[in-house]
Amino acid sequence: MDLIAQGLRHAFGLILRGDPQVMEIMWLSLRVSGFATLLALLAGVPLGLGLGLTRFPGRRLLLAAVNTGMGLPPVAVGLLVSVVLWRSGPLGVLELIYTPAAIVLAQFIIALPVVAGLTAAAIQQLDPRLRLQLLGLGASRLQAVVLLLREARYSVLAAVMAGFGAVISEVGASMMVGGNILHYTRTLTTATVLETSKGNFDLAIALSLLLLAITFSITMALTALQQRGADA
Amino acid sequence: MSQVIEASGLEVRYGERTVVALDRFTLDRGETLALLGPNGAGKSTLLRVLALLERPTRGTLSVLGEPVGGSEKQRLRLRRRMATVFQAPLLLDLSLYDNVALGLRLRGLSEASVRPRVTRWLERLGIAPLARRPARTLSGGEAQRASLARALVLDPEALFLDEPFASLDRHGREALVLELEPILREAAIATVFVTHDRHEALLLADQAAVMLAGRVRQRDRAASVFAHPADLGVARFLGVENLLPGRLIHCDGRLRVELAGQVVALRLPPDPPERLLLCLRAEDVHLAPAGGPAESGSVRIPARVERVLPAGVPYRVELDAGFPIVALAARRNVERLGLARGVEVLASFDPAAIHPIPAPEPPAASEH
Repeated sequence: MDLIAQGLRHAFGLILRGDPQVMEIMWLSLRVSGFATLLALLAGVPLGLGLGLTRFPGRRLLLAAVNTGMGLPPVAVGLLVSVVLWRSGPLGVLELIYTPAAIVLAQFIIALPVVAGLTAAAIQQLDPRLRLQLLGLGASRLQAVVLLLREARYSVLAAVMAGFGAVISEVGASMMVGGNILHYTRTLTTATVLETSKGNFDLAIALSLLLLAITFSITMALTALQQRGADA
Repeated sequence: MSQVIEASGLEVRYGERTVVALDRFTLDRGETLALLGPNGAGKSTLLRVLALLERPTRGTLSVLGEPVGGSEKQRLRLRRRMATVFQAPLLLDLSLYDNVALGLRLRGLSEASVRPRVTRWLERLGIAPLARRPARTLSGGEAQRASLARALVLDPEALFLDEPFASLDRHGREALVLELEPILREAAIATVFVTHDRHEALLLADQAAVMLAGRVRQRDRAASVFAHPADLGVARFLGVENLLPGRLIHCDGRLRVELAGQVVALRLPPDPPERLLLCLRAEDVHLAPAGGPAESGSVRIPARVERVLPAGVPYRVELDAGFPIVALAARRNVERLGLARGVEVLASFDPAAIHPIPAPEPPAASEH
């Protein structure tokens, strides 16, 4: 009990003092996962729209692949990105392995199917005749897609936040492709694993609390948005 | 340009199934056409093709004087001179005002020119006080008015309505139909509307077309279509209760037909068929006590009551005269004649109420 109480006390101290090491790790996590989510949004929303609105041969297969990808194990992504970015690998010349960019790439691959799959589901939940009605009122195809996206905005936002939630909390891929290098690729999750294994429970607890606070804020924001959407 | 729409050889196929197959279809400027037909007859599909919301499998289509090609740019330009309203109101999650303003804003009009037009139509359809309300809080009737205002505000040259009143209750539907009638008449917008309802069609439409299995089987003035169905399929769809088995005797300026042992003289149709079915509306059949006098000049057929059903305000009386006859009778008459199963009555009708159509082969007027 003493261990836990002491750990918690130290942890709060580290956070409230704004310990430079803890803050640095948190900001890196937020930057890397935020950037990966942004890329997943830019690619995933159009992909989800395409899957939700158009019919083409192989669409079902692609949709099944995307849905499977929503449960992609981070270690498998980590392995794939490691092999590709390895010095002797196909993209080894880019020298990206063990850099924040490598983590961004891995997290992008993890978040993309989440954002695309949930966006496709959100668009398909709209009345299929709504698109025809918009075209029938003189919308161009692009205008119709923008208006449909607006109608599904709460669900699409939820999709993006689910993508962020998936990558901010994953550890396997970040560890494998980032290497957990101090001041460079150490994120909240990889640092927690390291500090726990070293027996530095106060630091590990502080990092975990921050991670919890971030995921809790996301969940809260998500719930608030969904409720607004549901009341709407 | 007098024709707003001109189509020929129009065909829509979904896989192996032909949904629409029209040799020729036209819509004149200012004309209101009711498109009638059972579910799955292809009415809505045809409407979407004409509204340039769906491409036909083959055929040529000319809209607002322009042959429609494959370019999306041209289709959009033409679509922006027309408007479509569907059965469900399909409003966006915006205020009522913004929903009605939507089409004008999509066309890039300035707010200064949007406002007076939107306000005018909100007032015209009686929904101006609701302008700021979120669309999702509107009732079904209010939402359908919004949906119509959203189309009419565009001053379309052609208007397509796909069962626009079907989602409303009877009362709301009648009120809206009565309001829409002068609007369509004054604006003289070429309109095609899909409906199941005879009263809507008679009230709103100049012309009616009956579609069965993807084809227009009859097109004429709305009143004529209902009074003179062209064939058995149309008569059945329009709910002609009596299709009596007549036997053609000869044509000599008038059509002479034998019906239940009596010779009936009918007005000669332009193209007298060899086998006949005689269409007769139940409301044109009068019932009198058996053996009693009937109106002079009428066809009199003794019959026995099979069933008396309180169907709406008049009763529906099903009779057996060697062939089935259906009549409508007021409650007063049902009581006066003591109508019940097995009662003998005299069914009579004016020969002018009869409309002959060709009987199908083998004759549907089977003897039983």
